[in-house]
Amino acid sequence: MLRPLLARLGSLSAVLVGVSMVTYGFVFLTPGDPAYTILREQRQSPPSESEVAAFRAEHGLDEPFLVQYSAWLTDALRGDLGMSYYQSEPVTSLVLAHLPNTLELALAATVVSLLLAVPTGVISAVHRDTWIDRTSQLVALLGVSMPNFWLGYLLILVVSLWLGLTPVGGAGTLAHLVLPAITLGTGMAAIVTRLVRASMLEVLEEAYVDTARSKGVRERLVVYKHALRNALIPVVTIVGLQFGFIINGAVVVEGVFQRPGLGTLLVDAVFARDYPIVQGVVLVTAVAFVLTNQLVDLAYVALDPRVDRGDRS
Amino acid sequence: MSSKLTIENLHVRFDTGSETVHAVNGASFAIDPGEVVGVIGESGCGKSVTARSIVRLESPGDIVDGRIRYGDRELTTADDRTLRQLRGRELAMVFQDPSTTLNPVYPIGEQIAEALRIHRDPDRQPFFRELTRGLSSRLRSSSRRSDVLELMAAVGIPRPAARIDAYPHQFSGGMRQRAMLAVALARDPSVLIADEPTTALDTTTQAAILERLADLNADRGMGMLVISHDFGVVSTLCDRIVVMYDGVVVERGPTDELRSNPEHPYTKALLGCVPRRADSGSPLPTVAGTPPDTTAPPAGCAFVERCPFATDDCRETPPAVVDAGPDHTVRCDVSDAREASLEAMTTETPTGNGTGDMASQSQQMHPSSVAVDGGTGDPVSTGVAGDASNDDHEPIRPDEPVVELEGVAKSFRESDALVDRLLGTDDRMPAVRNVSLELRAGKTVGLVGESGCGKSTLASLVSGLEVPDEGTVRLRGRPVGGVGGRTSEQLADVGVVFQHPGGSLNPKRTVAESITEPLVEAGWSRSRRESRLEELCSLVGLPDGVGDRYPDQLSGGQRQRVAIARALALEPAVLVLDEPTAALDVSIQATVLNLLADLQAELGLAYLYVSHDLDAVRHVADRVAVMYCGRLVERGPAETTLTRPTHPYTQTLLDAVPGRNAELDERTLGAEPPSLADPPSGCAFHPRCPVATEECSQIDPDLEPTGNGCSRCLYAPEWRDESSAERPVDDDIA
Amino acid sequence: MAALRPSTLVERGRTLLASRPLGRTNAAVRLGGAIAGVLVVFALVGPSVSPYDPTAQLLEARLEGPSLAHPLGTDALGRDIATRLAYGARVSLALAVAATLVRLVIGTTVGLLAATGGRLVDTVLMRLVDVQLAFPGLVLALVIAGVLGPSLRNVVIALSLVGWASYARVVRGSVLSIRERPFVRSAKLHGTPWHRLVRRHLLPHLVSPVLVLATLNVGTVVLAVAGLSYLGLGAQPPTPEWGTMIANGRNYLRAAPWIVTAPGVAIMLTVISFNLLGDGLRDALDPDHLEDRQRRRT
Repeated sequence: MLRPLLARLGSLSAVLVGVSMVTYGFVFLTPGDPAYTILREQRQSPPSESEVAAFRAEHGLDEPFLVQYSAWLTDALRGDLGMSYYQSEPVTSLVLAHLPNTLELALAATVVSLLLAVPTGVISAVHRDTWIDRTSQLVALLGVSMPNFWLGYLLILVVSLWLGLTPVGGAGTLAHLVLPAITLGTGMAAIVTRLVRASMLEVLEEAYVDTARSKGVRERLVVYKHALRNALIPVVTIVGLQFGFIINGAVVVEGVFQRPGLGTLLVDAVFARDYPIVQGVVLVTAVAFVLTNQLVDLAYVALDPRVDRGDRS
Repeated sequence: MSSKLTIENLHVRFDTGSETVHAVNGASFAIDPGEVVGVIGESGCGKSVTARSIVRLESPGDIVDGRIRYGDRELTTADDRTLRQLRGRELAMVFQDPSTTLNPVYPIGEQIAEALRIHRDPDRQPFFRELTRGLSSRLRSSSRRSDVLELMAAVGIPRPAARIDAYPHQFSGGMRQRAMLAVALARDPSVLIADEPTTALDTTTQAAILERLADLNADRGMGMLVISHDFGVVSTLCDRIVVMYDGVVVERGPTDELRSNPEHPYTKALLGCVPRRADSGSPLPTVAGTPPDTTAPPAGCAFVERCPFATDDCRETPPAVVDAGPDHTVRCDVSDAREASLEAMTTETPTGNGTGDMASQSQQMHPSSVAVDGGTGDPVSTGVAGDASNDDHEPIRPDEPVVELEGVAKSFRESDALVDRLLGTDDRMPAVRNVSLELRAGKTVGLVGESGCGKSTLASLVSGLEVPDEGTVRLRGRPVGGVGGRTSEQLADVGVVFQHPGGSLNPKRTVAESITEPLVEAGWSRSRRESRLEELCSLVGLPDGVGDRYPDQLSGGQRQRVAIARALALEPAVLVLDEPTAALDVSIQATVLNLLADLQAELGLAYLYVSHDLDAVRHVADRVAVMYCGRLVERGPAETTLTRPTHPYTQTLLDAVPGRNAELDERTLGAEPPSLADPPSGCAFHPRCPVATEECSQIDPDLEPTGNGCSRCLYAPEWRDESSAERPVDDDIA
Repeated sequence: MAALRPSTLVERGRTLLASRPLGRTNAAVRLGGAIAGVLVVFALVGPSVSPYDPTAQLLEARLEGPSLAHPLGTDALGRDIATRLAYGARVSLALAVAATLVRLVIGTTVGLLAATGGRLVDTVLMRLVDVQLAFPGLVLALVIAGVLGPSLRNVVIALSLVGWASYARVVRGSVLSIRERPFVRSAKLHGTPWHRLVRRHLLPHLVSPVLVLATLNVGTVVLAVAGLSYLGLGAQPPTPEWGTMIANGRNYLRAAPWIVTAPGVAIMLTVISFNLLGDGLRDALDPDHLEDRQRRRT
């Protein structure tokens, strides 16, 4: 038990160090001198030599990269992500303030998509090559191909503007959550549907499915007890990866529905070159993403007895 | 409760989109209550599809015609409810590959318990309760638990209580097949249908499973349908045998009758090809022509193309079914053919040029044919020697071995992870331990043992794919390392033929490209390569024009010929043959073995023939080395070693050959080969050895000379004389 | 006579295709190819056929609904939407193909190096891949493009930097599995040097998975380009680009829904076509899958 744990911790910390380096390092991609560029954009006029020097000193930009990075990392590990350049607020509290809305949206979207995708994928696979299968395949294809911001506007147009059923934008109530969750969940649902279908088709060809049938197990149990449990194993990984997809989507969808969240915070900060906020949000999402995938790996062990128990024979 | 199972004029087809595969074309036979019937035939003859159709698992095929009756119930039109009642309770099924037939995510105990629950009431399978079963690895209900344990014991799973909550991947192949048997037996079926139940297993495990099946049949009085490609397996178990060819039953009758008096030309050919019948050294009889394809069946007899007694009439009209004795019928109405001897059947088959014509003819008939084994009979052998007197190679002195292994050992890391190396938990698993062996020009050494005994690793040490940790490999007297460290002459000296002919050829390269690859690497010019390619093709009996094809357009036998041609390209002194016929049907195996024998006689090659098939080894080998747990346990001349072995393990292997009907010791059958990482103390074989004593668990014997061989047994050769009273030596192998 | 014929690509392709029935999968490839073909023609021919300037503002013609003169209507600045779509198609397709190619080259190289370069190289490169995959792709691309400054070139750079890891994984995985197949072991026996081993036995088997991945990827990149442009990081006004067009139309949802609809449909069709192509190619090029199905039947 100790060995896989150590191996996992080793690679996990390597990845997290890499992630934090990238997160901190992209400031240096800024063309020219970051301090100069930031100030120029802020003021809309070229800053003076001394203003640039003062800005650098204030934000520690005059130190060598490794010194800056280790200072930032040490603070980050203590939960201090620095101060915003423009809003006189600590990044940590900004992130914490915006986090609940995004989390709520991500969860709602995941639930929507799984509820839709798993049954559809199973039914599609069981009724392979029938009209049910073709229709759901087509819908899934449309689902993955739609830009989610566009779907958001269509939903706003139809549901909010024409039918008047939900508010156009904002956050807070369940009514505010419905359209963004559907918008965000559709793309994920489409991907998961296709995956569940493909995985089920593969599993339904397995010999143990015939074994179950030859035992006299009724077909519904053959499908849901014997096949689906196996088919879900690869699906779980993808659902973990989809968390990244959700974050991607949130960046855009929050804007469409004018929901305050990590996405809108990030986009605004990117345009304002408010790097501490950008770094903070990126670090939080990336770490959350990495940890989610670790959890998924653990779920994997629970679902698939063949993995990682070290008692292979 | 038991009823007669009747299959009548069954037709099953598969629609693949581009073509229709005619898998079964009118099979008819019956199984009486309590009777054991075997269906035998080569791959593609429709035997498995027939078996699956009985329990209505023919999908994705369709039953297009015919009837399957069980008692008064018609199964081809039965609804789901009737099938649920019948499956498991009346008709249970065991499938071929135990590595895929058990659900990997449920514990073994749960999978057996599920069958028991269904047994009680097949119509009542509460959905949500069933769905939550087996989510934890422990089987809860204690009464059910004892039923399951009883079943596990009945099928011969040792220490069932310790294994009931284990998952399939924690079981060995043999144990999984036993678990599968327990699942099938849970509902006390009237008929057990076993589709190649032992094909994926070692012969020792196979023998144990077959014995268990025979016992179960005797105890429970259930009928059985045993599907196999192996006549030995079927004749061990069955009262009656059904022979299938191209989706049709060509002959059926009582086992003894069929064995002593086969009437159909195909049955004769099939029996004639088996290596155990032939004298070792003499060429094996072969069946001419090509195996049937799966397109629409011919109007006349399906075997007509390969039958030396075929008449024009055979080609046009379907043969009548003729009575050949009590309960013995043959689908052949040519009396000459029925009365011909086995020898006449196989020696009168057209060879040489005749086959060449046949092969090219059949290619014209099937321009895109996928399954043609054109090459049969004698390879064309003239005119090869010209180039074969290779100037690059030094002549081999007759007294000097071509390859010499001296005390070689090889172990593998169990884990490749960085953390293991840091923690020092870097366990190594010895695959080969201290083996010495010699290969001589013109001679064959057969290397036998169960899977995982290290024989393939040993072969890789000879070929240079692996480098020994200890000991020396000598080629023509010079120490050699791995492939990277060998000179081009040394590389050219060793040719290798792998087990799966499909896998050893790059599917994206033509046959010509594959065969000439070694020549390209050796820097041959294009024109020289082309002429060598032609020589090689005729040497191994590949038809003209095959060079432009891709491996997936060839039959298994042809692919193996391509692999042999490639191995021979640079005129090696040694061929390493790693299970070269294991993936082939018997009739194809015979042609490949003959080819290898001819090549050896002609080119003076040294062979290392790795195989688990003792009959084939006896046929081809001059000397035999037996491996167990990474070491040689016995070494000696093939003839004596495989008739009067000096090590009990060799005797066990011999007794396990299907069809020998030897009594096997309970200790041997119950146990599995030990783990290489943690071999037993003393003699590694002692836990399974029928003649082991206390001493055997303490003293690790050396490989000592006995008679004209060597044996690693404390009691060699006395154990044999002491136990021969109760263990008659089975010298009559035919 | 089994002669060594010079086997050209065409000949080989024909033999391969002949030996494998494409069957139903062909339909997907054909449909996807047809849609992609129409889009390419639209992008190439559309701008020269259209009488309108994609950027000139014509305020008296603003927010006009679909009509004969403007089949897809006009936007808030009176520009013909159909014309802008055609120009936008050039941008989207060119960017998507460019970013996909860069991803492919980086990813394949990293994957090959990781698989063949020894344990240390493998560990380091795969950690790098893990790090890349640890970031939600669009978030990282957004930040990179934002830091570099809004422009189409920077969008391509950003999307290239974030998407190569999956290629590296696929390539490494394929190489590792092919390397264990007997035909590669057999080639080693002939002393084939590793570069020829890679060229002869590994690369041909990588073409299909990488091609399939890349085809599917083009669709994803089209979506990402549109997303970044929608956020204001890609094409800058007045350059016609699909994502930007949607962003421009969002304030006229009720008054002129066609402004948002048309570019959305265009994006969708593009993505659908590459998805169909990719799926179809996978079925057609994956002989193992077909063989498995065949084998089970007998």
